[in-house]
Amino acid sequence: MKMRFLSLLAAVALVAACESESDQNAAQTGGGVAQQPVRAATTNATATNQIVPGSTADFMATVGQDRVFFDFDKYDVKSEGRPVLEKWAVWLNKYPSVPVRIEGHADERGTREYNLALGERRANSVKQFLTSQGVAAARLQTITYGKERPAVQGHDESAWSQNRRAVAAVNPGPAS
Amino acid sequence: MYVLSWSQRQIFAVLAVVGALLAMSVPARADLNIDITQGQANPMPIAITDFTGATDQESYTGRDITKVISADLERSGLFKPIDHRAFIQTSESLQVQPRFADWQVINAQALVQGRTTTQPDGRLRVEFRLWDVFSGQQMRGQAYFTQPENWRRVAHIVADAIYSRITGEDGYFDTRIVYISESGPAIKRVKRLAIMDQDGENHRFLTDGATLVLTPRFSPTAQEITYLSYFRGVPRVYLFNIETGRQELLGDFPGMTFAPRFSPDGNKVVLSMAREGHTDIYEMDLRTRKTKRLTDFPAINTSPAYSPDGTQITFNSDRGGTQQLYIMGADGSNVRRISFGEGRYATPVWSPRGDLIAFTRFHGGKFFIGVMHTDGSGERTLTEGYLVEGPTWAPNGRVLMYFRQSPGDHRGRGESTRLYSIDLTGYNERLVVTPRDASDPAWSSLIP
Amino acid sequence: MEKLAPAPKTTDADKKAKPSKTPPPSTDQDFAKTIAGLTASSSSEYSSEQPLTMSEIDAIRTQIQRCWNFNAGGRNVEKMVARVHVSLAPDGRVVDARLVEDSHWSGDSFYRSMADSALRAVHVCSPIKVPPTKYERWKEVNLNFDPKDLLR
Repeated sequence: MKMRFLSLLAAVALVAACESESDQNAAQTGGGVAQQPVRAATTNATATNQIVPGSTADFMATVGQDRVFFDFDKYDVKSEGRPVLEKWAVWLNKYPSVPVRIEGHADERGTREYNLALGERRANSVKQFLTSQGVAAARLQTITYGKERPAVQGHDESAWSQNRRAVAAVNPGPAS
Repeated sequence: MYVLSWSQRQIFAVLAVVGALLAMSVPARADLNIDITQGQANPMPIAITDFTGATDQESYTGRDITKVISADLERSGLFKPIDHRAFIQTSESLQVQPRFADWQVINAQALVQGRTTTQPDGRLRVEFRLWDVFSGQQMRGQAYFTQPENWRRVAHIVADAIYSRITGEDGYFDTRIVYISESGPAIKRVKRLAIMDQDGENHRFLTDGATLVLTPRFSPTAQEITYLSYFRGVPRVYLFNIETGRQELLGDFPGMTFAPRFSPDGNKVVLSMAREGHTDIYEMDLRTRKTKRLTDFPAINTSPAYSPDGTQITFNSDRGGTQQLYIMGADGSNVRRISFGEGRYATPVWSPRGDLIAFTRFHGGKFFIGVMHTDGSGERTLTEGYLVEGPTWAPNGRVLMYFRQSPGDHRGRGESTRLYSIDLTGYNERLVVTPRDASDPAWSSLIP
Repeated sequence: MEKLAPAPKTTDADKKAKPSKTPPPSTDQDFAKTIAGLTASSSSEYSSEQPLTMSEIDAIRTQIQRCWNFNAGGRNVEKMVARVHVSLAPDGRVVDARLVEDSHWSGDSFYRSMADSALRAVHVCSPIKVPPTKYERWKEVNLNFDPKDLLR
């Protein structure tokens, strides 16, 4: 999957680098602030001054935020997340051939197996919302990482609240 | 009541029943009766002498065997091997006849002697005798034949025989642990499947860390492992053969599969599948490859584990609002809730003895490892912490292992995730030494 | 695997614990001397017929309880009682201790383990401190090792 897009979009090396692991970029560059990856992606794109329509960089520049958050042990999208998902839906409907993977995550305050189930539930909530906005369900792959891939290192509520999330990976590479 | 201060032991505070009241009211010749309702749970002092040999090589092997036996028994928390420097009688003269007075003087309550000999066919013969120091009686004596490189296993088997004769429990030293070895920062954790003997020896990695792997569990024969792998990016349950290294996808499920466990007869694996926001429990027959759905409830139903007789399954579900423990028939019938305490209950595992279920509990910002009877009564906490999770039983149902994550300071310094073992009574909590951070332990049966 | 024959001059203890090899009880004359020495302040010639007081019984119990080292996690041990008949010499030494078998649990490895621990407790405690003037009252004693309350 990733290889195919690289050949299509060979010119945009920086964008390609951002494609596969949105979470890792968030964590590496953002130092724990969820909004950081948005800025990072935007900066990269303006530096090259070349946002390819339908790319991850385009998605980030357009929707502003690639993740929504959840309350402890909850899977309903919080009200502040709804406008975010609406933007995702608009963008996804504009580029109907772009595949998306919704990654569900949990904080570390739960057992491993339950959190895997909870992550799937959160990813599915987002999927349900997007399909209600007209996005074809077949494009929306879901995956759970449970508590295995926190965005933020830390053991307090500020870290946990950023880790209870669902992330949209546009043009996803292989998960790992 | 008196107060004693032992390093790790409890004082049993109970009412003493005065059986002697009876004796006071009957004629003078009647025996005095006294009820002893309190005791100590101190480790038993035991003298484990070096196993002797006719050649240097045999003697070296004998000493190594003795060390493994001593370490096993000491680690159980039920024995205190006596320092060899206190011994009066030598191992050599012991071979002729034990002088029990010499062992009583140093407060030994049991005595172990042994001998290693190389057979004409090259095999090693290891024999041992276990003595009761007070009665001067042999409690157990046995000989084993093996290839010389298997001396360590024989040592564990001898330790099991001693432990079993004195405690009444089945042994658990000739066993292995499979677990997840962890390294790297939390946001980019590398996890590898690893296996080792119960005492940490013969450690080996089974995967290279390129793929995220979780929750390994042994087959009843300890030849295979079922676990969760993100191989090719999708979380699914796999089988792994330890001998051949062969990995095999388990079943053709339309959703993500996780939380696998073998049935006690090894013919089935029970697991969870998450799909469309619900997680249900399925069984897969390994012979026919047929799958069967066991729960059908719009909730999270996961972490299934069989009863030792294979007729029931315990699992956790949030169908009642929060995560609680349930039991159902192995065919999915007759579901009933067994946990009713505050907080969330998870990862139930049935004791090999059949009478208890161990679990993880989350309440008030803390995690707990506990046990309860299978009807939910008699709940007891064994240990607690910032995160303690995933108990697994030793095959004798006496010892549990789990993992403990310590958060470190606010920048994560001093953070660690490690395996610990603990006695069913809640005593003798011990770090299990692993090369790196470790989680998701699973204890094997006795090696066949 | 091969089960070893018992070593010379021993028998299989798995069947039943035997009396310890402590010396035979003291003679009556020894006893009289002991009494004379230890009961200088006690004037009653009938003292040996007096029942033990509660505190005297408690003192014996406390000693045994300190010596009883017990595997508290064994299966069903809370339901078992190991009854040990003890014969004591006038100085409190254990002359003989034997298990009064409970047929209900015979063959149960946890019962055998608990019974062994009870017998060991008696030997570890020897000599037991006992009121010297009341030998007739305690020379034969039944100790009922009952762990039902130990593991709650």
